[in-house]
Amino acid sequence: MRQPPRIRVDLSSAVPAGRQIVDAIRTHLVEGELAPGDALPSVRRLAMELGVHFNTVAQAYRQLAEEGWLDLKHGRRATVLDRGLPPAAGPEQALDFQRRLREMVAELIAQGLRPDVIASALQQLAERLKL
Amino acid sequence: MMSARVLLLAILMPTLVLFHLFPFLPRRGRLFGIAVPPEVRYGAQGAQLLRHYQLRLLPWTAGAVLIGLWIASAWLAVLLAVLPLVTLIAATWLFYQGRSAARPFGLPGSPVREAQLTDAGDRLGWRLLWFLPPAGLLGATALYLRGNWDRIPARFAIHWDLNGHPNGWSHRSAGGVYGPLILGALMILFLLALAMLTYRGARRGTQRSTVFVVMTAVSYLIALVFFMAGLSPFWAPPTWVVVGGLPVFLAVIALLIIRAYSQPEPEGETVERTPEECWHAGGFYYNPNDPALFVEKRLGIGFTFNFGNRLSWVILLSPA
Repeated sequence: MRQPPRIRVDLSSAVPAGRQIVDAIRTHLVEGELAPGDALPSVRRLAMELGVHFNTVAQAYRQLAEEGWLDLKHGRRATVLDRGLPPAAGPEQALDFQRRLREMVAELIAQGLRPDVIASALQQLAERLKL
Repeated sequence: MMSARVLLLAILMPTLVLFHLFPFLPRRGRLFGIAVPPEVRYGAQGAQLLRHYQLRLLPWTAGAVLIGLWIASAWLAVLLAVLPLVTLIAATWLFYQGRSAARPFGLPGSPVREAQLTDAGDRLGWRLLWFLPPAGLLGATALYLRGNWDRIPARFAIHWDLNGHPNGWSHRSAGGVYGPLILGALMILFLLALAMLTYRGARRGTQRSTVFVVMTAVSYLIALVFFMAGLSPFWAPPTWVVVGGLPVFLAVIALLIIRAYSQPEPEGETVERTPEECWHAGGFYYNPNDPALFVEKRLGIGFTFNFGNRLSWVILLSPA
């Protein structure tokens, strides 16, 4: 049986909990660990498990629904939608991505993470994206 | 005065045995109800704190047994009123001393939280159907009594002493005949509501399922007791059923709890999610920032209210 993906939130992080929830769920959606039709925990349940306010989770679900990932019909659990591929991104977005990636790598190296560890992680990510 | 002596020992012994077991009852990895690192809990420091507590409690246990066995009968009535209370206060005081000694080793609450992204197991659904047989048993008994109303004696026994002699009576009236069944049905309804609340209001984990199963099992016991009480106009249960049934039931509940505690917690569920500073007097949890309505007890088994959740006060005050 397929193990359901897990979400991890650091409440002491400078990144708001809602943003962490959106990022983590989106990662599982993009990588296919959450498939169309899968039901997510209710807002109340996920808030309780993570120890955050209900509104934080509700807002995160709404953002993912606006991005086209989730179906939030009233009275039903949030379910994953078959989103399909969005229109191809332009060259500006590719440049923006490269800039953000370089900034993030620089920040991590400044924090003491070894470059070879970062390179290995990026390589693994690249391999997964090829699938 | 033999019965007073037996009663005194029957109160003292389970209380003291429970206090000896208390440090071991809460979830694994805890010492006197405080989450501590494994090297402390299972290392020399943890063993020393536990040994110290047991050694200080032991004289109270031995003293209580000796007094209970050999005290002059003339003193038993006074001791029955005083000794259990004094013992309880002393054992509680020793336990809290042990707790204070363990507190410096307490782990800080982790800011990292994990959860499974699935709704599997969160819906009660078919589990609620387990409450139907006990409710149905009481309903069927009521129908049977209605169908045999004319056969019900005008006065019938509803309570018996240990020798099987009746010592309580009721009459053929709606209250006298259906009263026990209605009371049983109300108790089952209360248990059902409590089971649903704890299942929905507590975090996932082995305890959540165990508490639900235990509450379901208790509803079966209640149904059986009130089924027998309902049939009392026609049938008196044999003494061995009454005397032997309860220990068997308690043994089944104990096995369920031991089984639940012997299972490892699911991945990510072992993180301490109730900060130590939110626990007051050892057992009262108040955390307005925690959306959970129920949290696992630090001492003992099961759940306790999060008094920082306003709904807990609504539930507590609703019977009033």
